[in-house]
Amino acid sequence: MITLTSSDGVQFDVREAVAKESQIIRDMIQDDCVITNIPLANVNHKILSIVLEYCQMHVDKTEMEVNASKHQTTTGEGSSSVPVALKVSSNKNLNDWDKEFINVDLDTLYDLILAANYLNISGLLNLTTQAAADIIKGKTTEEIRATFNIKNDFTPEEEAAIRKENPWAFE
Amino acid sequence: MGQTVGMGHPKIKIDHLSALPDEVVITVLSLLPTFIAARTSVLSRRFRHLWKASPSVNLPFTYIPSFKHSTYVAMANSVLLSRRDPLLRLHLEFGYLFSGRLTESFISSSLIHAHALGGLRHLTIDGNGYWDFETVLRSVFSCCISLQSLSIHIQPLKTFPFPSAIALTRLKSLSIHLISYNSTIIERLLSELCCLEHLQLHIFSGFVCNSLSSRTIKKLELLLVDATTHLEEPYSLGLSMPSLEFLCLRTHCSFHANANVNVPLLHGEIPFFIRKAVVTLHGLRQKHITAVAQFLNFVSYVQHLTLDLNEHRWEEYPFPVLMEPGKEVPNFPNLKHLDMSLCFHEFNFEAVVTMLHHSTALESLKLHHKQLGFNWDKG
Repeated sequence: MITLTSSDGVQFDVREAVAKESQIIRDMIQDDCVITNIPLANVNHKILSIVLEYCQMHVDKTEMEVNASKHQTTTGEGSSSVPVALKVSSNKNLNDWDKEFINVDLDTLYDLILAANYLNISGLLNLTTQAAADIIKGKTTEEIRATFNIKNDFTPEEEAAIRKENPWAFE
Repeated sequence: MGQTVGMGHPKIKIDHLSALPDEVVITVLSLLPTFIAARTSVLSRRFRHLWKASPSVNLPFTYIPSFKHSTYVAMANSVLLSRRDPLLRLHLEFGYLFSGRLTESFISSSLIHAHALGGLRHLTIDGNGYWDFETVLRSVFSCCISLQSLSIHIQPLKTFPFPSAIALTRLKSLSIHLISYNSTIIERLLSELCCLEHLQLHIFSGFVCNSLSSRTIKKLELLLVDATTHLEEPYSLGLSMPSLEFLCLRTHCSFHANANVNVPLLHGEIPFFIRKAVVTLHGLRQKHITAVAQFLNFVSYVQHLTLDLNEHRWEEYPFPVLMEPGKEVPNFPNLKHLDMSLCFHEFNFEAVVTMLHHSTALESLKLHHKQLGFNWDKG
């Protein structure tokens, strides 16, 4: 078991395999194999619990597949303050689960991208950046600005000049 | 409309996208078709040049219907020629409209230029039209030594000379069309690609292939493309892939229910290390039963099996899709997880019961009855 402490001081006890979904945590454990408590300065408890939900789900799924080949391993049940409501949906396809998981508001999506990037969880980073790309995809530049609240700091002349550089992007 | 979040707003919302680190914004932009990524250059100064740093260039021709040939050329030229950074991923996609209009030499020069930027790892070429692309293939194979994944979906008009695999020594993933007149070439190519782990074949029916062999392939996907009406007889496909861990056989067509599917008769060395198999077939007829049974026999060492079978609901229906009359139902000594979607009419039900009886290691079972659409789960 590993204890992860969020930036606002909330502790999460998780199995090592779940924590190791994060590349930086994996590296820390490798460097110092007796480490049991890891403070995460850049992730608050709300986001950390969502991130751990993701990691837990993905570890459970992979283990289910691997277990198929090996003997029954004792799964560390009773683990953690991590929401384990997932058990119910664990039969569902992982892609469907991801799709549902990433259906969050923009603020949460932003925090999740940052957390995935900081903790270096490649699956979660792929999922969240893809979600952001999908939001941009069907929109005009005006709509993108409105959605993300981006302030246009070009003068109309400057903007027109940039559009002319790559007219094919605006046809 | 962009003014709705302007200055006078009581609560200042944070501009999340701009606040992300450069490398993350670039990752997001790399997931977009290039002409959409390029639009972000006018969002604000923050975004002015970021899209150009994307490691991917994705140039779809079909994205918007009004897209013109000249626009495509302008886009490809401007994106590739003005680029200085190495390019990791290139995706060229042409629609039907394109045939004969963009020249092969244009595509070849794009490829050569992309390669010259250095580090090209992933290349995808999708073209719906039938055309002659010998020159293009030559440039792909001659210039792309660094490629790790290659996907070419163009239906050639005639036999083309596949170069030797020496140019593709690092290739791990390959996705390609398998047509009768290129089968021998691909057979040879496969035996030469020494790192290949993932193979996806779009198979057009009516073709015979004695042996696709590879010692390295771990994941094989066979996608059955819409068959033409006159080629309905099952055909043979030999496999020799001792490292195979995952096998997928799937109908890949536009109209699902009654598609004119044809299923290959798999034979060859049964993969011992196979862990997972997925079979999704639509429009099955009675004559396909042998092919389904052969597939199941071929994957008999799997631990995880997903079956989704749809019979063609015509005059023959109902008939058993799982069991060949007079033959044994396949045996699955290692099967632990079974997901099955099919119509449990009397013939299939009997086969399912026998199959379960033969699967002594089973831990989880999911059955989905097709006709009435209810789920039946069991631990």
